[in-house]
Amino acid sequence: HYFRYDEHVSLCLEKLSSSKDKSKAVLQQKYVRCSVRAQIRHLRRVLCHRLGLSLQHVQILFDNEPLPDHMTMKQLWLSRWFGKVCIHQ
Amino acid sequence: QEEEEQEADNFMFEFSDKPLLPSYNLQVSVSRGPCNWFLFSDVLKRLKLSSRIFQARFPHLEVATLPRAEFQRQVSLSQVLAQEEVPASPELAPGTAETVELVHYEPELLQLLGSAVEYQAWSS
Repeated sequence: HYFRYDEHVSLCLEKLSSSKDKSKAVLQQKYVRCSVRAQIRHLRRVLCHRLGLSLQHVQILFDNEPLPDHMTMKQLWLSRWFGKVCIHQ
Repeated sequence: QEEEEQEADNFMFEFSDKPLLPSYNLQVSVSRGPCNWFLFSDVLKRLKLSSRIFQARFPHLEVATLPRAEFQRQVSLSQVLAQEEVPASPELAPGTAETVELVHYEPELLQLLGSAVEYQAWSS
């Protein structure tokens, strides 16, 4: 596969707060970079490992909508962010 | 060597509590396929080191040079790089170096930059 030569995407993960899980794991390192071929399921597994949670407790959402496990980062980028201007400041 | 081959088959995830320095997927020579690089100047700035000290301390980390126009041509072909991340062409103003210096994206350098690295098998 040689994923290490792939182009990268950079993500910023924000924990979705909900009132009933105040004590849940905090995401210290929220800036993430990986291959464009990585899938949501790979990101979920890595996050579970880092947070010490089981897979069913971690979901990855975009605009409050859970993302499908087999979606790649490139598909995610092209379908949700492509052409959008980032607003810095 | 074997370990390296195993890692090549896994996804590498980089985690940081600081915004990540941009990385660029570039082909720096015809004899070698594209791979990932940082701008050397970005890395030196973040580490607060001079180029001389960096290269003396980490001689095994690969540094390469690319003509600036070629760097900008390759970077503009990326579908996933936000245009804000592309160093602007006004940098081509007179007096600017004609080349860019790059440093190879690899786990040891990520750790120096304060990132954590994790692997995830494709098949998992």
